[in-house]
Amino acid sequence: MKPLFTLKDVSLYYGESQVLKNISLTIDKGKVTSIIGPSGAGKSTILRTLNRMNDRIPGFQLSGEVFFDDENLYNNGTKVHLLRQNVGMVFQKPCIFPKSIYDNVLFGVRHLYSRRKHEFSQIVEETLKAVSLWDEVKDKLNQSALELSQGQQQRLSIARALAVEPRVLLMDEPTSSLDPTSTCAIEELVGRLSGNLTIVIVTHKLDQAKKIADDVVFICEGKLIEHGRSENIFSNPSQQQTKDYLKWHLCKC
Amino acid sequence: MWPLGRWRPGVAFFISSFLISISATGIIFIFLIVESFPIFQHEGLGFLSGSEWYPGEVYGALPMIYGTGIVTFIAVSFALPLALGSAVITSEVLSRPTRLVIKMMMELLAGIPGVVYGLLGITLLTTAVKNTFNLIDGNSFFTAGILLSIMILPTVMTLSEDALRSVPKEYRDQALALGLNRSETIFHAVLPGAIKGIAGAVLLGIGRAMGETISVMLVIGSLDRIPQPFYNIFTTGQTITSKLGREGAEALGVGYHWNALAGLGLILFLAVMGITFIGNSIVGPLSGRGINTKRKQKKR
Amino acid sequence: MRRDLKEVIFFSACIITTVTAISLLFIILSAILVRGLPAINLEFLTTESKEFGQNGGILYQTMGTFILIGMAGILAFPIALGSAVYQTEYLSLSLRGTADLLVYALNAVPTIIFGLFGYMFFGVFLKLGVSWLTGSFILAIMVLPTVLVSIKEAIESIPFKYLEAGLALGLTQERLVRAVIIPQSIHGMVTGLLLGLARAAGETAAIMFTATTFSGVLLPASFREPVTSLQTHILILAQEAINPRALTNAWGAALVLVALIMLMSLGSMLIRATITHEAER
Repeated sequence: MKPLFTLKDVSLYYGESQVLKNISLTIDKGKVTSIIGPSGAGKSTILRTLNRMNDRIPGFQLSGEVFFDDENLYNNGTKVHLLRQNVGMVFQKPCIFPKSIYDNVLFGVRHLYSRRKHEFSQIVEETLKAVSLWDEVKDKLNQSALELSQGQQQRLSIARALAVEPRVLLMDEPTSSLDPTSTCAIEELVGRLSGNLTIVIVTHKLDQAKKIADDVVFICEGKLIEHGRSENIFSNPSQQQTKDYLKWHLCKC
Repeated sequence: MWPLGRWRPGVAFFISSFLISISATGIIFIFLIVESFPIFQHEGLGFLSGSEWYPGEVYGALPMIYGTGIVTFIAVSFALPLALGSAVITSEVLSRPTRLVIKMMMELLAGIPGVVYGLLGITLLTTAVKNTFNLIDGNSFFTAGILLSIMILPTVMTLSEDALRSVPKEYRDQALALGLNRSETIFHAVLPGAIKGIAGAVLLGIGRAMGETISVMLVIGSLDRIPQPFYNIFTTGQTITSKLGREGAEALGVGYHWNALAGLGLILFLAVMGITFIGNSIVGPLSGRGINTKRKQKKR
Repeated sequence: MRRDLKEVIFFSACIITTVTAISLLFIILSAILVRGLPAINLEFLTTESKEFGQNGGILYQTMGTFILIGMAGILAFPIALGSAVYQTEYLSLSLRGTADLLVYALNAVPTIIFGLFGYMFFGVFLKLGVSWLTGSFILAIMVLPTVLVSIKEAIESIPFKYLEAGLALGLTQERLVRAVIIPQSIHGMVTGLLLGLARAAGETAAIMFTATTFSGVLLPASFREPVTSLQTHILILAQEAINPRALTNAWGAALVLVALIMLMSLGSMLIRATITHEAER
């Protein structure tokens, strides 16, 4: 099967400092790919390369090629906003606008498609059901979303991303600021969404990666150390650094 | 990034607003050069060095240049110690609520219009100066300078206080822990860190004082002369702004008299811009201070 | 001990200057109040001035000030907003410092120069003459930096995560401006506008020979007529300082003007103090 994302020899700089070093990688359609590695290794940077969220950072520079299907993302002709409609993203901390729950779900949709007003309530219901939030909030859709708990807010952020109907969902440590119950809910959600949706998730929790990922990418100090099926990496890693990391949570690269 | 590739009404509006905002100063500068050009042709450098001004005959700007200089000097000499002393007390001694009340009052006072200060000056200050120094006329360089010092006091004080407070608390703690007493701490640990901000505050005050028109016009006496001896500040005089305010209406757009006033405007413009740019390069070009007193700003 | 002596001298000096500064400011406020209050009554506020301001009230002067600053606000606001959005969202990083510098330069231009320039440009070149519209144009340029910087600071303080969240959903830059940047910086627009109006209301030099006339006009019937204003009214009466009745009315007008300006500044301070971004909780 043809991979969805292909990175060819990607290096990335912020000013003088090199954050990614010659990374070549493919990400498969319909799978859950988890990027693991110690903090500061460049996990989030790789993730943000896939929807060009790094562009605004001062001193940003990239060499190599990133393909989404057949499109070279860092070509001049790429319409960044169309890319981001196809490649949704959920951040570490839920970012909720000071608006109602209803308006938060529709935040992207409202500004992207002008003639779908009659579908709005249906979209809200479907996406909130998809993130298992519907039963909790269906009676207070017009209340401020800021009153929700952190875990609810994060699921709302996912619903908001899903409402745009992306093909890919990037998740940047989506559970790191959440309580265990919400974490479980989101992990379970990721399993349910994969298949139709390609999911790339950055996490520093190995058990989480083990639980939800089909493929695992191990990054250390901007270098790709190992990439493979989840069960292979966790049971039988080929690289010494991976073994060390899995055992000691440390790596010398 | 100049996204002119595709025409989009929103962006076109943003760009044109932006162009208006950044070009206004330049347009005014060019206007002043063009309008004053004939007087420099007519009088040559004598315009700057001449001390006689008779409309229709001769135009010499020196008395006004002197007036602006001396009045600004008096204003800063009185305002600076008051502003610094009260900034030190406010920032280093007073409790937070008292400090906020004082700063709020200062901000409100900074908004009192020049014409109201002029009214205060003409009714109270001129009489006070006249009686105190036993003068024939209370209108003088000194009166104008004092009035200006009161006007710029809130600005200089508020900005100096901001500068003092921006020095990290650790510096003070460290100095106190080493056994310095409080005044030594302020001199050796706090002031060095705040000096740039204070310099910026003073330069801003100078710029304000030079450009203030109405209040000066009402208390300076409006006589184009350099006093004898030149340091006799208890005589009536003229500043660039008071001259422009007094004669602007009658000369608008007409003849050498107008060109000469535009020339005065150009001198004032260059002086104020020079000071503003020095201030900006000391405090940093990204500082928005003095436009609105801002509280905090997150960098992205 | 010498060190202790220095400490005492230093703090005494500081306290003396503080007391002087604060009492000066109290004297000013109380002078305005004490002298202005006797002039103020309902009649003073609601009738037209008579006998060159010696008698009667300040109704049309007050309205003139409102007309001048209202139009100045209407003219300055969209330009300030557009420019603030452009400077924060479109302009390349390397040019932002220069742009800021030019805006601060405009803020520093002495107001009398705005008067000279504005008369020649709007009055003569655009043929608006000595009129309230000329005055409003001049005041609009004058307060532009105040409004602009306030909006710009509000935009810059929008938490970055809001922008990221919008961008990650695939909003274009224009949509982001409409969906996030403008709604999240409304408080900056209101405070900026209030500060700008307050500054315009206190300005005399820029409008005294370009937009106003002393007496004989009530409300302008067209764009090309002058108005009277509180600022210029005070100026003219102040110059008749020997006439006690004129002076009383000058103080009354001054108190009204100062109250007006302080209300606007207080309003902006209150908004600034109460609004914090939800995200900063």
